[in-house]
Amino acid sequence: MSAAPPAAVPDFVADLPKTELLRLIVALSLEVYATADRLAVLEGVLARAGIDLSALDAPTEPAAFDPQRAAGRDAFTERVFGSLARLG
Amino acid sequence: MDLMLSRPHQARLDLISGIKALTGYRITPQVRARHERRALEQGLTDAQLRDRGFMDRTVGRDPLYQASRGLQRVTQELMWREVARALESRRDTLHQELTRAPAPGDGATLQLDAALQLPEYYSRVEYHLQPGGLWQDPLTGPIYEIGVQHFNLHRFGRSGAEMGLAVTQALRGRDLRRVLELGCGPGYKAYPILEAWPQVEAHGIDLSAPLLRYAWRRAIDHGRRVHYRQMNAERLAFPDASFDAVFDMILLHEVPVPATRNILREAWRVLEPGGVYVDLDLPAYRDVDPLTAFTMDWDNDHNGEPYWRAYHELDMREEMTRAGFVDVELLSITSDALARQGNYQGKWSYRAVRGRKP
Repeated sequence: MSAAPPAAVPDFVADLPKTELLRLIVALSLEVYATADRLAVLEGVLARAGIDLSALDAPTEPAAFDPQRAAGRDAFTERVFGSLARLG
Repeated sequence: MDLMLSRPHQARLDLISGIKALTGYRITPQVRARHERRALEQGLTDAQLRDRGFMDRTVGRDPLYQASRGLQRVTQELMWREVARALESRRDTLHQELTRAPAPGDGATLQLDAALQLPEYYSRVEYHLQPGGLWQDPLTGPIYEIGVQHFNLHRFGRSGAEMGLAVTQALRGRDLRRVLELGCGPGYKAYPILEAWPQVEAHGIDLSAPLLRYAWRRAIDHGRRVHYRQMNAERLAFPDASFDAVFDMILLHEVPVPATRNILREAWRVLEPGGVYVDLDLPAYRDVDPLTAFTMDWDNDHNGEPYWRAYHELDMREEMTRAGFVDVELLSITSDALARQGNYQGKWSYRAVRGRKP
């Protein structure tokens, strides 16, 4: 007895504008990235045991002027959005 | 004025720049490679490639191109939102700094015109999608500068001096005593000209009171002696023959063609005989390859640039000549950053149009 073919899954959001989805994804990614960045700062603070939490919100130069942060940002961008650069 | 942002806001803006960079440096080159392969395989003619409708039906349907445009639009919207949010908690402080009374020794001066009627073509546009356009929010200046730095991926460094350096090249060798910048905005783009001609008396005009307040305040902070006045470049309040150089940087693509003609006429009028006018912008569509022109043109409809297409299709040599200028030249001025890396639209040289009043 052969297995029944998988039921086709309807495209529930076929008429939802794709740009809206993209807007949502990008907005969400900004939040994820900001959270990851914040955690990285927190880990650094805790590792030093000084627990200087003011660093979490300290005024910060753009990553463009900090090669280490820029590299981390670029790697993150590639992981999340790199697939768009490989669209067939 | 300290505009450094707190880390969470800066992190979001950093990622926005990262996504714009991915669009420009990873996706756009692939769009170009596929386009060029298609053109070769199908024997497409230059006329076809210069036809916007044809390009819409070919490149416009490439998922890679669509991804790049979608990301560009969405990141642009989110960028302005994030900058505004980042400054919101400091709004009162910044506003006080921008509206403080002039003091002896300021160097820079500011003269606003509360009775100035903004042209409707200007007041209704949210340029580059900046909410409120360039005149409604009192913090327009700081928001503009931070947004533009991220929009430009910080390629021009902290100073944002790239375009001013290009204008300096176009004016090189001239003995400048009194110069006027039209549409000066936040003012900083002209700093290289002040450095190249340290004795020059510099004037800047703009329609936007908030941008002028910021330009004035920024000039004081940076020790720049510039006289800023709120004025319409189509109707300058300066007497005839007031300046030996008049210039603008990316102003004329922000106004409709009739306004461009008025501005050129006024620039000619306020120049001394022998004085020069320089318009710095990106090249005309006809002077770039078809895909670049097509990609540039996207901004006209989707990035708050409603006069961009008309400007980039205009024959500026003819317009300058019609306005009375002679020795009109189109100069290609290489930008280190744009030629090396490009932006999300590709790689660039600036185009300067220079003409002399006889």
